[in-house]
Amino acid sequence: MITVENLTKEFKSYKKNPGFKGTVKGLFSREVVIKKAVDNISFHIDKGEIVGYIGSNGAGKSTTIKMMTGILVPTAGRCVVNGIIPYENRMENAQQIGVVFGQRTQLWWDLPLTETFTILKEIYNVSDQDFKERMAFLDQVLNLSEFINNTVRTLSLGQRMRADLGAALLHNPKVLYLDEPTIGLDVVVKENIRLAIKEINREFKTTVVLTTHDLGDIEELCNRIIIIDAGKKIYDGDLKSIRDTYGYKRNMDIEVKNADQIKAIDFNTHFNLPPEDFSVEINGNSVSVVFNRNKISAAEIAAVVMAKAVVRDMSIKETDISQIVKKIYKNGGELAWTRSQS
Amino acid sequence: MDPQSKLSLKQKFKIYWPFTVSEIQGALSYRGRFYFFIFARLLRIFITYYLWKAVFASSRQAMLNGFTFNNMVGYVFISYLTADLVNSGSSRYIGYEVVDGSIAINLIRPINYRTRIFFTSLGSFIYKLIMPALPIWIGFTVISYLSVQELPPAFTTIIQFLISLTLSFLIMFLFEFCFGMLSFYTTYIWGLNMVKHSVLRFLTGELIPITFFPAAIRKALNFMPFSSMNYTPVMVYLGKIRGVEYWQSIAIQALWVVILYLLGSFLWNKAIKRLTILGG
Repeated sequence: MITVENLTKEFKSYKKNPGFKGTVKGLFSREVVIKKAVDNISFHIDKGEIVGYIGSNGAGKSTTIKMMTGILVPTAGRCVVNGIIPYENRMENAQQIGVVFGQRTQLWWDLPLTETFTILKEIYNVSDQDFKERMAFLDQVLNLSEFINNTVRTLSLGQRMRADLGAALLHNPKVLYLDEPTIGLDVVVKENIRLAIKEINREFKTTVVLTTHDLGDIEELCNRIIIIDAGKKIYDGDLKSIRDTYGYKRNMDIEVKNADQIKAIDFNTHFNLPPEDFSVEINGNSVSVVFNRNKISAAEIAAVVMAKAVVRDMSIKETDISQIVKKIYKNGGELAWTRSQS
Repeated sequence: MDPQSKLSLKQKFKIYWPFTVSEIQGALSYRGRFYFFIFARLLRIFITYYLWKAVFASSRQAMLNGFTFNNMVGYVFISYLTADLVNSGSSRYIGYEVVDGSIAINLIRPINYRTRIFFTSLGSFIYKLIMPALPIWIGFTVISYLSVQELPPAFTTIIQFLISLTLSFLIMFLFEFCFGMLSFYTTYIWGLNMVKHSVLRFLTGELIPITFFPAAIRKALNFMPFSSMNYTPVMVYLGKIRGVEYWQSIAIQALWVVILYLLGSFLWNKAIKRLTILGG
């Protein structure tokens, strides 16, 4: 469905020298700085796959998506989406894709939501019959009818995101690009959005390419992930191996009234886990526990701690994508190795 | 290949017309701004009116460069109305879309960017025509009849004026589109726009009729599209361009439509390759 070959995108910018002197100098001679946002990336995605395209901020995710959607023209290499080169036949390509940019809306800001759908119906040339069926389906998975008559600018972020997803799907695209679709949403809405994406993928065999910083999105949706860092591909494969190696680590920070109470607990007798699955570090009155949530739940740990000590505060952090990327990078697969050579 | 080339004109119209409608609806949903704009426009018209009143009062001649005072009043009103109508501000619109990156949203749709901007401009043309322009024109016509017994132009003149006005709108739109392409290079177009706005007000004859300019400048302006943007329809309305001269002016306007259309296509193809999407 999607083939990307040696795709590269460079951005030119001008180096700014610091201070007033630098500004004056910049008026006469400018030094061009070339930044490779995407650097020689290749992959292939089959019909009906849901692929997580991940990397830390500025890694080049959005730039790749923008080349696949035909907005940006690559500096080198090429990509083909369902037989069409997007940046050469932008309009033809647009007819068969749906895009959601989490940080932007494609809805008509000043109009009631229902108008957006009527306008899109004309733009994508959707027949009356299809329109009716599609709207019924979208309403069923996204509950659009709750707010379909409201003006778009009055919608909450969660409503807006559901509406945006609906708008991207009205013409039943073959490929759906989701650029951080759950950004800024609460847990319940996130869950709804994920369910809707799954449902659409199952029902219409829609290929989905998803960028996100949310591990939950990836775990629930993707069967395959591609990780990029500084514009280069550093991992392409199934989620399972990544998940087994890195994804299940959690960090629990506990603040207790008296550290001695914690020291008195013998965690080994309670859980009996190897250090890579469970480790405790005590620092004054704060305790940091790193654990594998596959092997033990946060509740179990909390129960043991709270039975023995007076807890003031407690927080759980999950490993985020940038940490995983960092780890992959450090551990060095073959890809990472070639990178340091070049 | 353009997938829309297979579509009939009617189908195309159906695709792009919503952009016009949504522009009108958008404008109407901010009514406070709407009334304020009318007030601001009237204020500007009256400032110019009193300026010319002072000029004519201090002059010993009743006629300046072929303009009587009543002619001049007509010129001031009509040229403000047409300048306002034809100026869709689409370069500013394109500039905003490039700066905040929302152009991305428009490029993921199977629609032609220029055609879309055109239909958006058409929306602003229609609501400006219905709301401030028509009432101001009627008010002006009634008052000038009651005060100095000036009759409005003949019906055929009005039709001729509307044809010329439509061409002016097209020229201005295409020019603005070309100008908007600069925002792909400079990213921030606001300053340039201010300069362009001031120069245009002068060169299109919005401030002063072009006949008041020195001969050399008038000659140079003959080779530029500016007089076709505003001066031509106003002079048609005032009956100062008619007969053979009218058809010549229309031909020149039509020529500029073609030239600027081709230039716009050329610039778009160059600019789109340079696009950098800002803001993620």
